[in-house]
Amino acid sequence: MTKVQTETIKSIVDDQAQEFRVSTDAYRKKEIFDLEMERIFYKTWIFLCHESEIQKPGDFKSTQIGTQPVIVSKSRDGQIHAVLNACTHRGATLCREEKGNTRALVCPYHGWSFRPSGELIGIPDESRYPQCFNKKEKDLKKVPRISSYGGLVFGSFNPDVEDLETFLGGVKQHIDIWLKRTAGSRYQVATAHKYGFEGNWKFQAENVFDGYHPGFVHRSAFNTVSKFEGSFENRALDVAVRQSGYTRGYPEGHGTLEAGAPLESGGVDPEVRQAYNDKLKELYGEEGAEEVRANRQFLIFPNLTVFDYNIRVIQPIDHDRTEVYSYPLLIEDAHEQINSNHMLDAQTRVGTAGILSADDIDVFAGAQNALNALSLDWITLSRGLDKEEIKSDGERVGVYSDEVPHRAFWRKWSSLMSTDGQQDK
Amino acid sequence: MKNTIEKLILREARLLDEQKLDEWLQLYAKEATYWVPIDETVNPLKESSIIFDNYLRLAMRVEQIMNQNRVAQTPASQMLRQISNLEIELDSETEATAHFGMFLTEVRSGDWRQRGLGEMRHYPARCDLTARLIDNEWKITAKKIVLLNRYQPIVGLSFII
Repeated sequence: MTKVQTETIKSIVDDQAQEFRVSTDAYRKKEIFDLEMERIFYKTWIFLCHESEIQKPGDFKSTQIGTQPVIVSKSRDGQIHAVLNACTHRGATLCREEKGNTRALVCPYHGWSFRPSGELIGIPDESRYPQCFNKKEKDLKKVPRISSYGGLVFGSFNPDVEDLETFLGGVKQHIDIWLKRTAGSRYQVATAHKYGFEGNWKFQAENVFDGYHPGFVHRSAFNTVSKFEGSFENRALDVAVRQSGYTRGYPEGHGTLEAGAPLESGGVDPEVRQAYNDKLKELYGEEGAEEVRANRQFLIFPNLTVFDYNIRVIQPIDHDRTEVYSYPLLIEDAHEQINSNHMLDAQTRVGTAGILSADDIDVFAGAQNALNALSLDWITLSRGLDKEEIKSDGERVGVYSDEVPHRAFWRKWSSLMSTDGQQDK
Repeated sequence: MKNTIEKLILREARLLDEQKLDEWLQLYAKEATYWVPIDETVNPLKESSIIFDNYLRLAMRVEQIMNQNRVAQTPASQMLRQISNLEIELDSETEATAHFGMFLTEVRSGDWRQRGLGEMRHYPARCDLTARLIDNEWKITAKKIVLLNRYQPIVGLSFII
């Protein structure tokens, strides 16, 4: 594997006034993928779980930060911990389950036992170890930083990473609005839908805030929905390219796609829906309620997407292989009909067998194929380039089909990837 | 009568294989449910499933594939559903339950050398099916497909499984 030179990295994103281009090497080279792990996934904040996944002491979940296997858990004192899923004795995998509840992680190889928070608690037949053997060094390797915002739990391998709220920056206000949709309650994730595709993870990341593609990739779904009255009442698209709505890009790398239309699908009794809308008005006022109800979806750099009623984790596996875990969101105190509706809605649209998602992933696989073409060295992300509204804090705004959030993503990507062995502050 | 139910099951499999989805949908009662669980012990109105469709949602899938040139079915899947381990119980003169194994092999060819095409995918599953005699015709009122790989990521479920 060739080591990638810094000049090569710096030349991948070509940010000019007349065109914004990205080198296709970013999608097709394994060396770039490995460097992304090192300089992005192990240096910044990465989503570990939603708080509702580890509610009781002893609850744990197996996940990955980049390609590193990590167990995130809640301890008896209510703290959240994350450790590497690797026994410090001889490197065995401690836990083979996806999730569960346990007081101790016991290694299947020689029975060493650890608290899920990492502390070594027992070595079978310990007397054979030398007197000076340092057990304290044999705690499980920990993810040094854990932090939550709005129920989203993040971890970082970088002990000096900026604090989470600084990292979130401009996307924080969107998370706040998303939280307000619970009308004073809390989100609970339902079991994740899981699907995969044979392509680079960044295809899915870019897709989340891409307002240009739905009229084409999802034409079949929109046409279908229009023919079945009362199935989905929101945002069916008649025109090829939606003309209303916004995109935003933030200096921290996050980006949004906002349809500016209220979200809701059929299947909820009018009285139930009215009660929910009234509650929103009571809590946030007329205008506030309208803002809360208006659709927005966003990417929290690098790989967490927040939709109206689901969150998606984009899990890189290899440079040309990605998995996506899509969690429908339930609201703790909401009427059963509302939760059922949101869950089935997310399922039908963006689940494993979704009327939308299956078409995106076919395009991603096709892109991974085509980007290997000999002379296809660049992709262009120039929609709205000379028409952006640039705010004083660095936020950029464009229309729905502009590539504003894509550019924000790549600028952040380039900044982190060009940082050679230094901590990102 | 067990023969009738077996014929229904095999006919359903063949119609799905051949993507004759309009005819396939006719095999279902209007109140039918089509369930492909992740966890087969949960209430599918309260917890996630791969698919939990009523007749309307099934009809939408049929429309999207048959009449709307769905991207992910261009090219279309070639499929073979092998049905086995068949057990049929007659609950009454007008109701029957069946349990069977299904082994589905699926492939999208087109230019098979490209990523996302050419790979033969396998879907082994245990199925449950309930049927009722309605106006002299046996209709499916519930179908459940418990895939062996339901807990892990599945790629490319753009066809009706």
